[in-house]
Amino acid sequence: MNSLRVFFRGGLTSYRALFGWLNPWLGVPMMAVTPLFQLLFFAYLGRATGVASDTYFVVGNSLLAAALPGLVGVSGTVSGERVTKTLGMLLSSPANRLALFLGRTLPAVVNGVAVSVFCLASGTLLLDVRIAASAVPALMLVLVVCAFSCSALGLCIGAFGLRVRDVSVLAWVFIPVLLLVSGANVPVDRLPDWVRAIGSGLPLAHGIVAARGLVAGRTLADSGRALVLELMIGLAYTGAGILLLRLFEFESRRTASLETM
Amino acid sequence: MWANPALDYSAAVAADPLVAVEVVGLKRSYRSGKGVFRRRSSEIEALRGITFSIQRGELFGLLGPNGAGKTTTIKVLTTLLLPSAGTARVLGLDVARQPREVRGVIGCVFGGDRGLYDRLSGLENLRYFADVYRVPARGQRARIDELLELVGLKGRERGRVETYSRGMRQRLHIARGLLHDPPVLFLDEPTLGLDPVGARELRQTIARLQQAGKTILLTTHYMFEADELCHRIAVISSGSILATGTPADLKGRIADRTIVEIEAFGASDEMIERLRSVAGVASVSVELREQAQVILVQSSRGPELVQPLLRELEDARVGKVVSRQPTLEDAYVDLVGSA
Amino acid sequence: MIRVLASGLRIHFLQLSRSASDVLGITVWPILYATIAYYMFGAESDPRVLLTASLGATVMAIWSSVAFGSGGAIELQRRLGTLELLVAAPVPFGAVLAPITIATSAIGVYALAATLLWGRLLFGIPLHFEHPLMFALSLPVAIVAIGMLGLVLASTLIFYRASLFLGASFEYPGWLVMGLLVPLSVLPGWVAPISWLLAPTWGMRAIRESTIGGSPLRAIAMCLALSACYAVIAVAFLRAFERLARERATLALT
Repeated sequence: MNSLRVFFRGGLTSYRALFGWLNPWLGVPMMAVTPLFQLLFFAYLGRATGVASDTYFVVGNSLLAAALPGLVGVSGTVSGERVTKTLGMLLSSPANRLALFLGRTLPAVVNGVAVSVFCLASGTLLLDVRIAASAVPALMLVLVVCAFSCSALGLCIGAFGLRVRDVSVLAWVFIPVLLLVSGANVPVDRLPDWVRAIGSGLPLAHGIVAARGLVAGRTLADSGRALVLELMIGLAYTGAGILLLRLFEFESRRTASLETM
Repeated sequence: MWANPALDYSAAVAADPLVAVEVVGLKRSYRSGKGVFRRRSSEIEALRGITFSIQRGELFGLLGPNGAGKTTTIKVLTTLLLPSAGTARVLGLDVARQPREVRGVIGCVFGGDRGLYDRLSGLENLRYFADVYRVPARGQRARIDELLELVGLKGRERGRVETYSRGMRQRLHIARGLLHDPPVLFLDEPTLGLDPVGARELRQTIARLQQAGKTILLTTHYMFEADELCHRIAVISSGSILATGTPADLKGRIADRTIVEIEAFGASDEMIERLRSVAGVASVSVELREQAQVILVQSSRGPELVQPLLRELEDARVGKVVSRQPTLEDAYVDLVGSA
Repeated sequence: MIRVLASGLRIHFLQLSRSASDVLGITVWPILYATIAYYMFGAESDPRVLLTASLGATVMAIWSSVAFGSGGAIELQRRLGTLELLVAAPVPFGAVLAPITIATSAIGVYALAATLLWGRLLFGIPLHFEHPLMFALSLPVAIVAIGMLGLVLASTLIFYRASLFLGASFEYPGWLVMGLLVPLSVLPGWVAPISWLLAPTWGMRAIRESTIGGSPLRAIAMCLALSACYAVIAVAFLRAFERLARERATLALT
């Protein structure tokens, strides 16, 4: 029972403390204005280059919008524990490690889903977008899975942050990378093979495929395979992240290097 | 003669060409708000009507504890803040109405190690500010060299400021403040945070500048610095000037007093209170130094007071007992304490 | 006065250039956007279109630098502790601030070099300019114009504490409205008049027309005229700022 509390309470507090999204001056521009305009930018670019319909870009960019809170937010909260010197306190507590650090990802997932929904809704209102009502529930599922996989990658990056300084730079590097390789804007078949391969190992690529399929009218069963791949990527990064955290915890206890990392 | 700040002598000095800085009834309040949704604003009076003047070529000290209003005074005089009431003039120019002209004749040096472009070299910083302060291009190079020599940074000017020590930065600030050769200088706690050697060198530089004819207003909360450097001092506390005069004048206020310094261990508040009620005691202040308490007793009685004092401290352990003449610090404590 | 502006420009350009992360930031993003544009336009497109797309990406990077930098310019000076010193100087504050915003625009030359080199090396985009001299003129004019728009931005945002974030949120909208990568013809009709008031629109047009042909002189003239207007607007705002800062001290200069 305590693990559950640690999971929820701890995660939210840490998120708020280190991410500060609840400040409207920061939150609104970064979480609403920027993703919306990014979406509009690429949709219009798509019209100009004749790449694909508005729907293509709205779906792609809405999912992409979950990347910011997921990657930057989670990596920030995890590695931020080092900054606030609370890491030592956390690791010396008896709380379940899994609950502790996974709790960090939950607010980011909620945040990511919220942003994605906002983008989808605005995109549908402002542009020429068609989404079948029947597809919405399944689409929500895809949003959650995508937000989850982004947060999972964020967890991994954050784990590195316990070792390396300035890991926020690393997290921010992924944002443009995903912009290019996730298939949100550039159709993946136009990318060189090796770039495409990198993309399929990262979050969002499969989720976007699934989402587009659903929106086009395919059933969940058809798009299921892509969705499952996305979920597995998320789980893989979660596992890697937790493994890294345990590794660093163990090593820091062995070499007494916790605060100096 | 120390001046009573309540006397209005502005008319007399207004037209006096020997006066460099003249402040009359200067008030400055801040409105601060609390909360985001329901803003409760309260007005804080930083300066409650201060009056003083500085003669040309004088080194004037503004002495007071933190939050007394020293920095606010400097900010008004350097045109960064407008007075809420009262007037302030530098070389006859009104700081509120003629800011541009005032800025041309003053140099300001604020304490701390901010205020420089750290990725650039000291030389580049000086060149930039020389342009900003409108130093004519022709003499710039020579002037910068001269100033670097004066502050002792010659040879280090090409290094990036981020590699400078705090003392070096402070010296660069002084050089910067002097670029356009202003007749009036405002120094806000210039030796704050410096090591003793650096601070001493800086004080020597300041003294040299005054000897060269500059008018300087120095704010500080170090008594010995004010005593050493300043011709005249104004003691400011909670926005009001408590006294103005030469260091000798200020010490003279309590010249007839004796200070008894008692080092005690474990003296309770009760005992300290009892000390206050001993006959002839003017004030008692306690300073905590590591394990010991240093009790400073000011009184008009001489060393004969020591016995009665020690009697009140019977139950505590007492170390050193010194009976001495008052210093400027004691005068200051007396002024500020009774305000 | 000219000396103050030139000196300021040099100093702030150097201050920005000596930060690896700033320079990296302004080279990575245009390369990224140029790459995205390349793939979206398609490899078999007219190479001139691809070249203008690269240049568009460069100007996008310049605008981002200015949007972030102008909102942040005042804040940065405040944090460095130099804001007070600059306000207390005997020159108008605008003459001190303009070089800062123009410098954030001028580091776009790194973006230009990076994008063009990238395009040439990786995608074989030929660097052929229809009117090379006009191009050489359009670029600095565009940089100054964007910097002046940044000055207007800085002088209005200066009243808000959250100026950095507000400035940053102008990034994407700016790209769209100025027609830097997405042609204005694709956008709703009401966008066009707004775009004409913005100097970067004309700057981009000048650059584009010197590259693929057209009459860039008209665009250059518009750029200069708008820059002058911006200067007037900015000066008015800055005077108000200085007055308020001195009165209230809530626009803390430290």
